[in-house]
Amino acid sequence: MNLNIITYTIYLPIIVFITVRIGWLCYKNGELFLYTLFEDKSLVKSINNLLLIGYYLTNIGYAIITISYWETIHNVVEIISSLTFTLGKIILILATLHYNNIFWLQLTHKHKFLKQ
Amino acid sequence: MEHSKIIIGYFIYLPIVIALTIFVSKMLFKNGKLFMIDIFKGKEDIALATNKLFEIGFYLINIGFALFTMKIFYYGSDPMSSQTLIEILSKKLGGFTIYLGVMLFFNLFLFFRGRKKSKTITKRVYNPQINS
Repeated sequence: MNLNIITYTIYLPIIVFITVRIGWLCYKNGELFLYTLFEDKSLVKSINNLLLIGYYLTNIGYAIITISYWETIHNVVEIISSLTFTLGKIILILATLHYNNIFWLQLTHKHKFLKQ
Repeated sequence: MEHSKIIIGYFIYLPIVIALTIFVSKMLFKNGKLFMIDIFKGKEDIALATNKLFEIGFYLINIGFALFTMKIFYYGSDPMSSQTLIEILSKKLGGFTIYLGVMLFFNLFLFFRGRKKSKTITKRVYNPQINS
């Protein structure tokens, strides 16, 4: 068994778990904010569903595509270092996306309340 | 049997891609029905027909793109190792998944735009202050 393949089998479950978990949390807690933006309740549910699926597709797609650019691994130390580097990179991207989302949500929230 | 790995790759790639496309378009147009009814102001028959037409278009574009990019190019002199196969497949599948996500967001954007447009048109037609 190749060391690269071992790394991929460790990497994929971790990154899929993190992406799914974060998406689910944002889906649950972001629904309330969408209710303030749109009046129609069933419409909010469908928008939220579609946003969740789009998020999963793009993020898991990116996570899978990083495998094809992985460096060649020679020993166990390189497994750990390359795993932590790639996982950290993706988690940082998720964090910036998340803060960006919060920023826009609170901006639109404020705008809506100023209008009333 | 130097091409056996490539054939295995195709047999992994095709079912995943087709299942993913069917799942995404089912979810997209199940949720898009409400938008369509909103856009056509409650005329349900024309809204459902338009939804179906959009769904067919979505299938055509995405499965066509998936088949178009399926071919695996490999120029190495020795037989392909399973690591190379995994890396090539991950590139293709990940790229297709991102493309599908972008298409989904684009369709969502079209829904929002149509909804906004139909709202402004209603206002223009039925608002007596602007018309007079």
